[in-house]
Amino acid sequence: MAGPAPAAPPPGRTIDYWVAAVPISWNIVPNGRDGITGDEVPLSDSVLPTVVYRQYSPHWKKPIANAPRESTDGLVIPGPLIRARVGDTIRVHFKNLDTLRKAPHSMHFHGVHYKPSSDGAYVPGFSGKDADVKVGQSYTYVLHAGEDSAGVWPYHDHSPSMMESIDGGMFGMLSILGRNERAPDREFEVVLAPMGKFMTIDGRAFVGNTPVFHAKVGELVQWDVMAMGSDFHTFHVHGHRWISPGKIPKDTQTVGPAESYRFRWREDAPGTWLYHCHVEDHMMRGMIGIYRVSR
Amino acid sequence: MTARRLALAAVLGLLVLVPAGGAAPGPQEVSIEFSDYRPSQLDVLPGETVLWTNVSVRTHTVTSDTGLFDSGQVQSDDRFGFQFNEVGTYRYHCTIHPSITGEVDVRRVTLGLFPTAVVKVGTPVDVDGRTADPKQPVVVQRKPGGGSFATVATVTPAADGTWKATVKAEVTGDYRAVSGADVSETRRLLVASQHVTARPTRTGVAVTVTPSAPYAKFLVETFSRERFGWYPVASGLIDYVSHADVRIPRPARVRIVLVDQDGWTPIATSNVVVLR
Repeated sequence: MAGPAPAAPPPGRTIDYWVAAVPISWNIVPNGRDGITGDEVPLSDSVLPTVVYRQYSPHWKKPIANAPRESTDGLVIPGPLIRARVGDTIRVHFKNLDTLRKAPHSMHFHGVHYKPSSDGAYVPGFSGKDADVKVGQSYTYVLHAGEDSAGVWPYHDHSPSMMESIDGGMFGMLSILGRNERAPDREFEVVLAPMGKFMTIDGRAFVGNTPVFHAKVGELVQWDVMAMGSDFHTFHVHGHRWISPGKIPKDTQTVGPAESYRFRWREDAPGTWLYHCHVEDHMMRGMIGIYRVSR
Repeated sequence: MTARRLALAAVLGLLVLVPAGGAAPGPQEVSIEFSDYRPSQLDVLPGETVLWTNVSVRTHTVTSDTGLFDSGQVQSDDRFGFQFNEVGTYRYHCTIHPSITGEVDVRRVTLGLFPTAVVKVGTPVDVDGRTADPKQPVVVQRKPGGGSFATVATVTPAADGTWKATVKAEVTGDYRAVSGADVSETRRLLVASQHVTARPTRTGVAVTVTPSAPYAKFLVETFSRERFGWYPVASGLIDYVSHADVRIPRPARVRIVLVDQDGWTPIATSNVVVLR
């Protein structure tokens, strides 16, 4: 059903994203169980009200998908996948619609170039409205994808409410292609973060709830992996290897808080595979999913 | 161990002063687990003591958000106690692991926990709680969706302040206990008063809810191997005549789950429809 990832816009363009902080009722374990051990998870543990970044059509007219369905399984954690190419200017129009906690929010972006007024990080006496967007207010962050911005990067709330906001899922990724780099056929977003009693991938825990990623043999697949929170993770995909910057083949990557990595391979291994954090306690608490490759 | 007990005795000796003539229940207990306080929210009456026990292998603290109390480091198996005298909401956290938070609510009348799962219509449900004023009757009130609170039971508390009543589950609603001018927390009772029917149509399934539940929320679930069971694929609202049409790609095994306000807690589940 899912086609190849849409091509990035031509270089040097200005790209607008419309984002809002919105309250939702989130279920970390919608199928109600750890599908591997068979243990049931009560709703009192898995459902929580929270605030997330949601992508909107221009001028916040209506909510739209945060990313192509194949990239995050149609979920709203992580926030909108912000795609650009080196040389682009990105304008992120952010509105705070947090009627749940009525807290201030912001967006702080890694990996791109911007003025201090687009930093979105709260420092009393120094930062401006960018770092403390009150309920009902909006702010536009202006970012530039420089030559050193190619790759994937986190963004997250850095307002006075950042601790509880990040715990509740207020984070997302930028995915920036090099000037002449080809876009992958499939792009999978993996955000490793604690949530409630669970260790989650894209805000979901245990197989079947975490994204079920799909690819076909012959496709160029790209995994965008990052971590938020206070834990280190070791991200592992079964049955595959990728080449790290030192030309070393790897099948596991350590990812610390706010670190982000991009791996690519040409798919050649049909079957149903696991992907997970190899910190065993994290895996047992839900940080595991399945990846299905068809011929 | 002796040192620990002494430390506890010292803490309690300083903090626990049972009011003369009043009810003297044991302290209310909270466990400090690896990554949470359990229960994370506790209701107590004025003058009662909460006793925290670190049952985890980590060191934690029990620290008031407003500075009212601070345990300092509580090692594994150690305890900390604090007496709450004033009505109010007291939030606290662990300074070593700030994402671990808890709350003590001090009220003059409390309402115990309800069943978390849905109960069948007509089921008798036991409600209980405690009051700081056993001489006053306790009134149990219910507010069905969209209505206002109305009395469903009036009980005379026991001399020790405990009270209990039995109410008949008739409709999903919020409950509270009232004693004079004092009001407890509100708790929600889910009652399976609705029946959901799904039948196949050319494009998916048609959903009917009886008795009518206009604008109620529902989930569309399909059964799939890669989801390891039933999994929500869409959500929707029942219309004003208690009907909905749902488009579902074939083939699929589908069921409709009527859910509570949170969008997830099931109230009623339909028959399974197989779309070939």
